[in-house]
Amino acid sequence: MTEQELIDKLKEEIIKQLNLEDQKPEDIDPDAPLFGEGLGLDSIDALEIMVLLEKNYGIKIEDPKEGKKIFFSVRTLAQFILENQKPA
Amino acid sequence: MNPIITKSIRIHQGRVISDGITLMENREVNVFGEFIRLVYKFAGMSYPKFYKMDDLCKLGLVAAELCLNGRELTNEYGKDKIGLVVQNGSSTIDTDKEYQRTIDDRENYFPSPAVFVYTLPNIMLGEICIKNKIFGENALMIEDSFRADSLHRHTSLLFGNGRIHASLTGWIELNAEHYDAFLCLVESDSGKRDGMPFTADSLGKLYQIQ
Repeated sequence: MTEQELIDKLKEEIIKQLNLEDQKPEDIDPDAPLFGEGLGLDSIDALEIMVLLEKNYGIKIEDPKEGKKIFFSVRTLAQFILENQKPA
Repeated sequence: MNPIITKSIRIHQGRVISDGITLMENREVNVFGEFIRLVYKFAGMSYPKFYKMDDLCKLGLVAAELCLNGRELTNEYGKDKIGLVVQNGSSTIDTDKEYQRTIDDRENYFPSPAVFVYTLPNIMLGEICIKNKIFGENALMIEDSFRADSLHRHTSLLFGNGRIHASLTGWIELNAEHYDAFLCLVESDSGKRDGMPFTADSLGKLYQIQ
């Protein structure tokens, strides 16, 4: 899966998992911050994305300090998955 | 100053009723999730967090919105002088079950934080307070069924000791597809507004006629 394909998939998964019913995938800028400005997600959403990573991609974030960097945007999230996903 | 009831709202059985008048009716939609979205739109709300809430919070939030009917009580009373006194019968049983489903299977064990945060019924009061900037006393009591006497007693106590000057008081219940929200806006009688005396009898009658 290419980075772009994963970004598109992640957008749909985030909308579904976080019940962002007023958002469409095309409205989400892959480089915009997920938290605070941008999508305006909160700490519970961050936990929910961690569950999504584990459930859908089998990836656990071992070092919470890395979270801020990984969760910065949809693109950084996609890059983290591509770097850490184990081959099927 | 004796408090008066200046507005009441009831949402149940596919209908939204205010002060005895049906504002909206839809008996074709049998699924609560779909019905409450229609009510949300009917109330003219734009509050993205609504979609993230559990069904009990959605019901309470929309009922409060319709009961306040555009009034910003914080402009009329101190933020900490507006209270919430609510009863409920099933606590958060629906959300408890939904959370349980996320942890039932040890092979597929993914507890959902977003569901877990709604497994306390007074979170509903918190959501109403956040949306409406209410900082006053609030209480949620679990009862077998709607109890006008205890609602009246508790609300009156808060008015009587000066803790609140306005309150959203009522019953907000949800269990599977059974939903029933009844909220009254109770205010200190300043003589500026019409209303009915705030008594247990009035509460009981308003609940029954709607």
